[in-house]
Amino acid sequence: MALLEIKNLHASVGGKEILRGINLTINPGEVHAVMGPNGAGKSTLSAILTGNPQYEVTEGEILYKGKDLLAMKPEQRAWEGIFLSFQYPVEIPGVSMVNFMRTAVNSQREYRGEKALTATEFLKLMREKRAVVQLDNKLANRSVNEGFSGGEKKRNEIFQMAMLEPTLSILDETDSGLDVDALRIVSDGVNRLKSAERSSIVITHYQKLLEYVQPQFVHIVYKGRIVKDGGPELGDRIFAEGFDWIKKELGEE
Amino acid sequence: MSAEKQYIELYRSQKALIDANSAPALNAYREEAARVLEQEGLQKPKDFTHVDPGQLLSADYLLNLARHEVPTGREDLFTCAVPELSTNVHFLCNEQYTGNTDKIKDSRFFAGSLREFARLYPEILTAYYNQLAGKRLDTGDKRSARFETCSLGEAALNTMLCQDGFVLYVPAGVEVQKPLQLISLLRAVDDFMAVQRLLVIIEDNAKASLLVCEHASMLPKMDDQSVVPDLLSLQTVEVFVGKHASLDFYRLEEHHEHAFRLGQTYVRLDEGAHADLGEYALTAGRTRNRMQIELTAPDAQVQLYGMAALDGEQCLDNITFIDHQAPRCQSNELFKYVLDEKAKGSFLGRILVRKGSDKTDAHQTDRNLCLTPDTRMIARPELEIYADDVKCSHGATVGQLDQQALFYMRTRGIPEDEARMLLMFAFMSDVIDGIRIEQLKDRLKHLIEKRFRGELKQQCAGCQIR
Ligand SMILES: Nc1ncnc2c1ncn2[C@@H]1O[C@H](COP(=O)(O)OP(=O)(O)O)[C@@H](O)[C@H]1O
Ligand SMILES: [Mg+2]
Repeated sequence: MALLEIKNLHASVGGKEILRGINLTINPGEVHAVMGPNGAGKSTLSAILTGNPQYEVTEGEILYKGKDLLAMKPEQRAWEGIFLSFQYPVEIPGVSMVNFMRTAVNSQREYRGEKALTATEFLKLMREKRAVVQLDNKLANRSVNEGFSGGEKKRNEIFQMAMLEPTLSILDETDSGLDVDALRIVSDGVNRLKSAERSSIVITHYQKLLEYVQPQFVHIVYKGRIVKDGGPELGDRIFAEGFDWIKKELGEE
Repeated sequence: MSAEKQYIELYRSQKALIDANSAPALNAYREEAARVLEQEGLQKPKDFTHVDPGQLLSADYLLNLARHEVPTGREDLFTCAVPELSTNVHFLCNEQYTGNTDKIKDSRFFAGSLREFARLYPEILTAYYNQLAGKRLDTGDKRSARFETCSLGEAALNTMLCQDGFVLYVPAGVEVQKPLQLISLLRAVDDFMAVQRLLVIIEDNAKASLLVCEHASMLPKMDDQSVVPDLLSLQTVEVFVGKHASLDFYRLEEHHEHAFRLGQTYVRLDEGAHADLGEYALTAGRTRNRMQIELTAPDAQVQLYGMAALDGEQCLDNITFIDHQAPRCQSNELFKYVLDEKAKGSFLGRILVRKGSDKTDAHQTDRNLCLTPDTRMIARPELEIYADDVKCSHGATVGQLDQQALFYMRTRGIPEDEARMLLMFAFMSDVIDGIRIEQLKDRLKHLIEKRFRGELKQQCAGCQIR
C-alpha cells in the first residue's frame, strides 16, 4: 500500500486558489524531491499535509496509510508519523526546548500506548539526538528557536525530526542559507532515518542536498500543479537550465 | 439617597458602637474621614475602567460593627494554596485579625492586629496611619487629577468605618528573614462588606517580605441556600519603606464571581529604599485596584508586577500611579493579563516625573492576551516628564495567542489544549520569574498552570474552605 496518496488536491488561502489539482503517490522507503519556482505552491502543499488551519482544501483527497489524512488534526498527523521541517521555523519565547520536546515526545508515546519517558531517559535521548545535528547544549536550554541563527533553526528542525523519528518527513527548503558543513549535518540527519518503511519529501532549490540524500523521484510544481515528473536526471536539468524550458513546454513563453 | 450619604448616616448613628469596638487612636480619624467622604463621594470617575465603586458600594451589605465573633481562620477553617511558605501565618477573617501560627514570637517587630497595635502604640500609629490614604497628593497639575481623586472617597469610607486589620511594623535596622504570610478570608452568610485595613511600616535599614493571600468563602446565604452572598472587601493599604529599607509585598487574589474588591494601596519610599510589589489575580470576581507609589527621595527603587488570569465574566481594573519626586529613582512596571470568555480588564498606568527628578529611570510594560472576541481590554499608559536626562519608556499591547506558534507545536504532536496552555504559561512567565520569594514563585507557577488547564475555575486552589 502507498504511504501517501494525494489525489486532485485543490487548496486556497484567503479565498485565493493556490493548489490546482496536485496528484502524487509516495511508497514506503521512497525519497521524492519537489522543485519549482518561488510561489509555485510547494510550501502550501506542506501546509496542507500537516493540517495548517489557515489553508482550505476545496477539492480532492489525501490518503495516508490508507486513512483520510484531511480528517485528522495536526497533532494526530504528527502522532501518525508526519513531520515537517518548516521553511521558516517559528520562535516561541518562554517555552523551553526541553519542555517543548518532552511534551511532544510524550504525547506521541501516549498516542501509541507507550509509557512516558522518565526525566533521565528523556534527557539521555535529547543528548543523543543533539549530537547528531551538533546542536549546542545551550540552545537546547533556551526558548524554542528564540535567538537562534538561521542555520541553528534549521538544525533544530532536524534535531526535532531525529527525536520524533517520523514515517513521512517533509523538508521545506531546509538547505536554504546553509553552508556546506551544516548541509552535511542536515543530510546526515535525513539519511540516518532512511529505511524501508520511511519516506521523505524534500523541497529544494539546490543540487547539493539532492546529491547527499539521493531522491529516486523528482517532481516539478508550477502554478499549483505538478507539471513534470521524473528521476534524478530531471533535477540535474533544472540545476543546469532553470525552469524556463518547462514554461516553454507548457506554451507560456 | 446616595451611597456615601447612607454610610455617613450609618456612621453617625453607630458611632458609639464603632468606637467602642476599636481603639481611640483609630477613632480619632473618623470625623475628618466623614467630611472627606461627603466632599468626594463615590462616583465612578471617567477613567476607562470597568468596575464602578459607587455602584458596587450602593448595594446593601451587612457590616460587622459590633464585632461579632467570627471563625478564627486558622487551619481548621481552611488551608491556603500557598502552604508552608512561612511558619509564621497570620489570619484575617473579613476585617478582623484572628490570630497566627507563630510558635516562637520574634519580639523585634510587630505583626498582628491593627486594633491591638493602635492600643499599644498609639504614637507610632498616628505617625503613619492615614497619612497617605487621607490626603490628595499634590502634583501641581490638574490635567490628570482623576488619578488622584479616584480613590479618596473609598479610602475615606474605609477610615470612617475601620475597626481592625493587620499591621506589620519593622523598626529601624531589623531584618526579618522569613517571609510573613497573611491569609485573608471573606466569609459571611449574607451580603457583606469587610472594611479591611493594612498598615506596613518598614523603618530605615529594615527588611521584610509579606505575602497576602486573599480568598472568599462559598458558603450559601443563610436565608437562601441556593445562592452565594455578595462579599465586598473595601481594602485600604498604606506602606512606608524607610531609608535604605527593603520590602517585598505580594498580594495573591483568588476570589470567586461573587467576591468584589475595591483596593486602594499607597506606597511611600524614602531615600535608597527598595520595594518589590506584586498584584497576582488567579481568579477574580470584580476587582478594582488603585496603587499610588511615591518615590520621595533620591535612589529609591520600585518594581511593580501585575498579573491577571480572567475568564467567565470576571472583571479587573488596575490603576497605577508612580510619582517620581526625586533624582535617580527607578521604577519598573510589568503587567500581564490573559482574558478568556467574557472577561474584562483594564490597565491605566500613569508615570509622573516631577521637575528636578533628574536621571529618573522609569519603565512600564503592559501586555495582554485576549483569547476570545468577547473579551475587553483597555490599556492606557500615560507618561508625564518634567525633568532632564531621564530614561522613560512604556509599551502596551493587546493581542491573541500566536497562531503560528500554536500550529508549529501541534505539528510536533503537542495537543492543541496543551499547546495553548504552554503559550499562556510562557506569556506569564516573566511576571512570575521576578518574584523574590522562591517558594511563592514555584507555587504560583504551579497554580497558574492549573488555572490555564481549567482546574482552578472560580475555586480556590487547594484551599478547602469549610
Ligand atoms: N498565508 C498566505 N496568505 C496569502 N497568500 C499565501 C499564503 N501562503 C501562500 N500564499 C501565496 O500562495 C502562493 C504559493 O506560495 P508558497 O506555497 O509559499 O510557494 P512556494 O513555497 O512554492 O514558494 C504564493 O503566491 C503566495 O503568495
Ligand atoms: Mg516555500
